[in-house]
Amino acid sequence: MRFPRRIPSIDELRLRIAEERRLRRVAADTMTVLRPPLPSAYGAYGHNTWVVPPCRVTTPSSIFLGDDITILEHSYLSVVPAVDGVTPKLTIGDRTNIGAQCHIACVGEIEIGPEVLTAARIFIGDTYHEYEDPHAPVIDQPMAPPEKVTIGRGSFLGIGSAVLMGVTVGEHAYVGAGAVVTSDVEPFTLVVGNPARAVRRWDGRREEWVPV
Amino acid sequence: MDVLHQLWRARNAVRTLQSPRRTALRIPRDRRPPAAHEFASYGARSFVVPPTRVSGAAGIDIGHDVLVLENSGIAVDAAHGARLVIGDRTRLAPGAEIVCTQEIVIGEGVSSSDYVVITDTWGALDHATAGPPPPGGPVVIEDGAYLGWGCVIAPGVRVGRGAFVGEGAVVVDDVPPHTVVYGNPATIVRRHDPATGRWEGRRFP
Repeated sequence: MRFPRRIPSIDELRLRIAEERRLRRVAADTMTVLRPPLPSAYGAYGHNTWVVPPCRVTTPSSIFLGDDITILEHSYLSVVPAVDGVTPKLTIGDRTNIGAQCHIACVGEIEIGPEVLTAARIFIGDTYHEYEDPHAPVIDQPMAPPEKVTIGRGSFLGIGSAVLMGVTVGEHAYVGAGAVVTSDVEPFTLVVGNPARAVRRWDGRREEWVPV
Repeated sequence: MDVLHQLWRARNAVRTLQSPRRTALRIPRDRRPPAAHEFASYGARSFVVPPTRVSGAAGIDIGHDVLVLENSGIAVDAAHGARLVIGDRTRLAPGAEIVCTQEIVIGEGVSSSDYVVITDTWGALDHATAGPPPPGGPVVIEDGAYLGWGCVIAPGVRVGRGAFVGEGAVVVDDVPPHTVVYGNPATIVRRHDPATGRWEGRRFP
């Protein structure tokens, strides 16, 4: 038979029990939040579409998912009606594949075209926290009015890349790893860097990718 | 695939009905946060949400109403006197990584987006490379600042009051108060002029 090395005092035991209870409550809340909503809760949910748990999905009624979509685990689909008079809408087209740990912050409209492939840890946001009032912490300030973000058909987002508000990523564009896209990307263009700049473009006449 | 889908929905329904007690037990022991009394100080209504990886809780001061969301990693070298202070009403979003070997002070009302990295050391390079490692130094993030998605706060940096660190910025120099920085390395793209009360510069680089 094993004995504890030191017999805890009643106060210590009480503390431990309270701690354990508190932890369990927080853990249960977390696991409840990280459960994906039922497909019927979404605005649209196509066939053979998967949002893999654990994930955070807010306002699923404003999310419209096509067919054959996979969104891997730890995704954060943050669709929030945070600006007055603007109803958020997140549309993801058919056969799109989004890597793990993606963060999509949608207050206005984000359209991820069909057949998009993304690596892990991407960020797509159509707004930012306002910081214009220097006397209040940014956390207490409202969200800026959103600008639409579009990810074109057949494009690719590299690992750790970010697409910021008002940006249109063209058809079949390729965003390199870690790029932070702050302005529009033309179709059939490779962009890299932070902030992102174009380095290669598909030349239809020469049938090859040429440096920009 | 439809059969699999039905199974998945059934499993979700079962999980909804399961008791919170069983749900909580699924969090592995090494992913649970330390108890409140193991921290150097721990304010009221603060939560470090599991699953998380916290080491060196004896060197961590947590104010009240602090939220450290899930999948974060906090490593503090408490045995060698390292200190991490997280001020009141600060919120660290999921996936934050904090590495503290000397001192990191995060002020009050700081908010962050996902996957930020805050470190006051460049790692144990001194035995691996010929030259000395770049000097690390204490990191200070002042009140009301905002850390954008995936930004990196490098050693020795002071992020000023109400500063806005853009998405994916790699901050290696001090950020003055009420400034917006973007890019790698981070550069100032916008700043607040207290004399005129206006913001100068562009929103994005």
